[in-house]
Amino acid sequence: MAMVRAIHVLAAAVSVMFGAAQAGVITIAPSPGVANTPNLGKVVATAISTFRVDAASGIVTETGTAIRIPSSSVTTPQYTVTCTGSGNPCNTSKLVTVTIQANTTSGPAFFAALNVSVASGTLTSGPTGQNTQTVSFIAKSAAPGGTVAVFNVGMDVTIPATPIGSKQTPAYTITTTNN
Amino acid sequence: MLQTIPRRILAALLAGALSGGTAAGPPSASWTATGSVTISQTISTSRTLILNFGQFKNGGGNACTPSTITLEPRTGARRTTGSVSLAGGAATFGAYAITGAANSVYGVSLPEATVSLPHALKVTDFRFYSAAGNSAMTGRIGPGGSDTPHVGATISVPCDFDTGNGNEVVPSFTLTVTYQ
Repeated sequence: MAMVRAIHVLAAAVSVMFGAAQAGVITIAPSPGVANTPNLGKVVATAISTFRVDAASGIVTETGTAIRIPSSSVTTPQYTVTCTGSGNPCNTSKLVTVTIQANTTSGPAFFAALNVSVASGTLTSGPTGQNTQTVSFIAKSAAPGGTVAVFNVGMDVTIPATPIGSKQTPAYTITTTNN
Repeated sequence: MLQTIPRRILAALLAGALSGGTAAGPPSASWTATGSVTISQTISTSRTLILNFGQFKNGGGNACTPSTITLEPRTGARRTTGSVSLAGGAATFGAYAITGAANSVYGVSLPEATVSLPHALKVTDFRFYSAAGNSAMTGRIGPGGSDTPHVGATISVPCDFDTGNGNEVVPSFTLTVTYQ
């Protein structure tokens, strides 16, 4: 009987420990209703050229001989970093570091540089970097399921001399790390 | 025995608790996004027919008035104002072959005015026609990557003028095409 009571007590204690130790889960996803993939459309280049997409405005500027059809602004991809979990996982200070990295930096079309515009979030550092952008936020005040940060991604798309009519699909990867 | 079992259970439960605490949330999350860009063929143009007003004359005397001949870009038909009369010749619209990205719309620009050869008559009101175009100054490159638009214009014909047996052509003007 004594052993049973001891087990019950221990089980209760461990249950409390589980709850106290459970960390928030940081997730990242495209913001609802905002395109998650940048699409420059059709471009014509006769030599190496770069299209810079400004993260904040979506304005595309061109350097080199290339032209873009049409030349209007694009909707830049927007991402939301969220803290989720049972209980109240994000009420303690939590540093969330977001790293955005171009998957390749060569080839027929690639992201030579990335730029970030932070729409919301408590910044602690960044954005810094070129073809890898790093930005850190504090998730301290995020309620369970709440938004830690919202940011947009822009990019420099470099178009080398390429066979005509080819569709290229440069990519980048966003990684969040909670410390 | 009674003392041993709780210790083992305690150890196991504590291990589980610590393990669960550090593994409750993944330390990182990631998302990969793939953009797209289509690198298209440059647009180019070449002339296949010279804009040609053919042969015509405008007599002298009191009956003569300054005249014009307009060459329709769609059909190549000529219509006149004033006292000019049309003769033979090989009148035709100017024709062009434009190549570029399939299904792309392009815009054109034409000169305000130029002169014809061999008589240096004033040529104005250039007009553009593309069977697949959206408006008077745009064309559309077809699925095969080409378009064959036409250009017409209006030539002014003074009194006492006669082309004779020669055609009056417009061999030199700049047609600029750009993607839209």
